[in-house]
Amino acid sequence: MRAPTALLADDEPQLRAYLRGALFRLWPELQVIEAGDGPSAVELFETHRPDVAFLDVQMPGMTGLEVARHIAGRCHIVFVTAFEKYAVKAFEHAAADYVLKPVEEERLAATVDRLRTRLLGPPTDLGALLAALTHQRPEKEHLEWLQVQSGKDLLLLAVDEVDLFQASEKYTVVSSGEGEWVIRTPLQELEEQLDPARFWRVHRNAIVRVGAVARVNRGASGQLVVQLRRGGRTVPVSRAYASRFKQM
Amino acid sequence: MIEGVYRAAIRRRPRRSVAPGRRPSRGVRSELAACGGAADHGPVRLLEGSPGPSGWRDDPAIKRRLFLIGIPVTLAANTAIAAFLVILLRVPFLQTLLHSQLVGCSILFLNFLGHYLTHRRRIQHWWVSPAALILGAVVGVSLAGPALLRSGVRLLDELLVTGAVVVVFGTAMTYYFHSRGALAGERARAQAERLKHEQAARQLAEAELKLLQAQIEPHFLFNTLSNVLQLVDADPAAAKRMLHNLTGYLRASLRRTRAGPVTLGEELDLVRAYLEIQAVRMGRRLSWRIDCPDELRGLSFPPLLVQPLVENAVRHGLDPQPKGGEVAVAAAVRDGKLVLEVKDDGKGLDPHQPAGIGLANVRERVQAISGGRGTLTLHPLETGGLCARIVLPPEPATPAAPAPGGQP
Repeated sequence: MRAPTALLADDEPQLRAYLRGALFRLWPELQVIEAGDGPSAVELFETHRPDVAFLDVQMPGMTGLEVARHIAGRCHIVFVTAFEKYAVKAFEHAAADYVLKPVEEERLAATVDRLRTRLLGPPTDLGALLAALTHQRPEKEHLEWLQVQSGKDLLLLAVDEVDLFQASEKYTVVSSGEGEWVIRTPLQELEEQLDPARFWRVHRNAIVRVGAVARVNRGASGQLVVQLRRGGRTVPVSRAYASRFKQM
Repeated sequence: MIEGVYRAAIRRRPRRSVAPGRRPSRGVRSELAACGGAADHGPVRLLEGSPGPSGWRDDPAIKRRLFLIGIPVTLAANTAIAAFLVILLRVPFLQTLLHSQLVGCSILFLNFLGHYLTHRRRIQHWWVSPAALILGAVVGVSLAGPALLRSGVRLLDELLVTGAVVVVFGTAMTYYFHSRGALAGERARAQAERLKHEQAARQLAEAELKLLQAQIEPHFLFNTLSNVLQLVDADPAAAKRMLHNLTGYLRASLRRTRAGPVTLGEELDLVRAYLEIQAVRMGRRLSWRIDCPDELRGLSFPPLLVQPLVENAVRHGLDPQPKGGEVAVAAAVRDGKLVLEVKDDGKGLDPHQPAGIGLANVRERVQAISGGRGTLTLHPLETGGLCARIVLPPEPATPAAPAPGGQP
C-alpha cells in the first residue's frame, strides 16, 4: 500500500505551514501537497489523487465548499474553518470532519486517528450536505449597482441611493438626492432586474424606490400622486398601478 | 410606515398633481419645504406640523389650531364690545349684542376664508386680514342694519361707531392672532430643529456602534490569532510584530468609536496596522501603500472613515482573487477640499453584489459630519478594480478642526 497523501488547501501561507508542521508530527508517513486557492486545489487533486483533503472554507477563486463538490466521494474531506457554530453543526450531521481555526494540535490528533481508520473504507458522500450548504444563497440576485457617467468620471451608484427611474425615449433618467444621470438601459429591462420589494413601478414611465416615498396624495382628479422625500418631486401613479397603494 | 403616510395623505386636501419630469411650481416647492423641512432625516409624520422657512402661514396645523381658538375668543370679545357700547352709549343691549356678533363673526369667517383660499393656491398676501376686516364690517352692518334702524339708531352714528370699534378692536384682535400664530410657528420650528439635531446625533452614534461591531468580527480575530500561533514557532519576531499590530488595531478601534475626531495621521496608522496584519495573512498576494503628505497628518479627521474602505478593498476586491493585488491609500487637498482615495486593482464590483453595511455606514457618517457637504463615491478603474473617494469640505463641522495645511 502506498503512503497516504493529503492535500492542504488554504490561502494563508502561515496557516498552511502550521498545519503541515502539526500533521508531520502527528502523521509522519503522510505525504503533503499544498494549494493556495480553490482552482489550484482542484487541479492538484486531479493530478495527485490524494486520499485526504484539508480544505479552508474561505478561499479565493473557489470556496472550500465548491472544491469539495468537485472532489466529494473520491477523497476524505476535512474542513478547516473559523466558522460559527451552526456551520460546524451541519458538518457534524453529515459525518464530515472539521477542524476549527486556530487549529489545536490535540483536536487535530483526534481527526488524524479517525482518518487513519476511515482510509480503510470508502470516503463519505457529502452530496447532501454540500447541496444544503450551497442552497443557502438567495434564489435570485437583483441589480444593486449602476454605472453612470458623471462628467469625465465613471461613477458606481448603489440602487438604494436612487429615488426615481424615469423613461425618456430609449434611455432612462436616474435621479438620486444628489443628481440626475442618463443610462442606456430601458426602464422595462431595469424593472426586471431590480428587487420588486424595494422598487415599484408606478407609471408606464416611472419606477420609484419605495423607501424614497414620503407620502401618497390624491390629486384633484382622484389620481394618486407619489411624493418623494428628497427634493419634493412628485410622480403620478397611473390607474394600472394604483391598486398597490389602495391595498395598504 | 407607508400605510401611515398614505392615511395621513388622504386626510389632507386634494392637491394638484404635477406631471413627471416637470419641476414643481414654486408654490408647491415652498409648501413641500414647509411640510417636511426635515423629511430626509426621519419619519415625515413626526414633522408634519412643523413650518419651514416660509413661516407659520404655510402650516395647516397651526392655522387649524388658531381657527379653533378663534371661535370662542371672537364670541367672547364680541360680547365684551357689546357690553362696553351699552354702558358707554346707552344703546339697547340685545340689538347691540346681535350687531356686534354679526360684525365680529363675519370678520372671523372672511378672514379664515381668505387664508384658506390663498393657502390652497399657495400664495400669501398681506392684505388678506385687513380686507377681511373691512369686508366683514360691511357684511355685518348690512345684516344687522335693518334691525338696528328699526330700533331707532341713526345710520351715521351706526357707521361711525362700527367703524371705530372695528378699527380699534379688529386691529387689536388681528394682531393678537398673528402674533400667536407666529409664536406657535417659531416654537414648531425650534422643535423641528431640535428633533433634526437629535436625530442626526443619534444616527451618528448608531452608525459608530454598528461599525465597531463590524470591525472586530470574530473571523478576523481567529484568523489573525491562527497566524500568530504559527509564527510563534517559525518566526518569533514576526509573531511579535503581528501581536503588536493587532493590539494597536484593537485599541485604536475601541478608543476611536468612543472619542470624538482624531487626526488623519492616527486614522492612517490604524489602516497601516490593519494592512500589516492582512499582509501576513495573505502573504505575497497583498501589497499596499499609503501616501499622505506630512502636513495633512495633523488634520482633525472623523474616526474610522478610511479603514472600512480599505477593508472592503482587501476583502471584496483582492482576497477573492487568487493572484491578490495592491491597495493604495492616498490623501491630498484638491480645490481646498480634503480628498481620500482607496484604490485597488482587484476583481471590481459585481453589479448584483448587495451594497455592504460598511459603505452605507461610511456614507452616512460623511454626510452627518460634514452637514451634507461631503461625499463618498465609488468609481470603476481601468485595472478592473475600484476607487472609493471621500471628499470633505475644507472646514469639517468639528469646532477643533484646524484649517487644511496649517496647525492650530
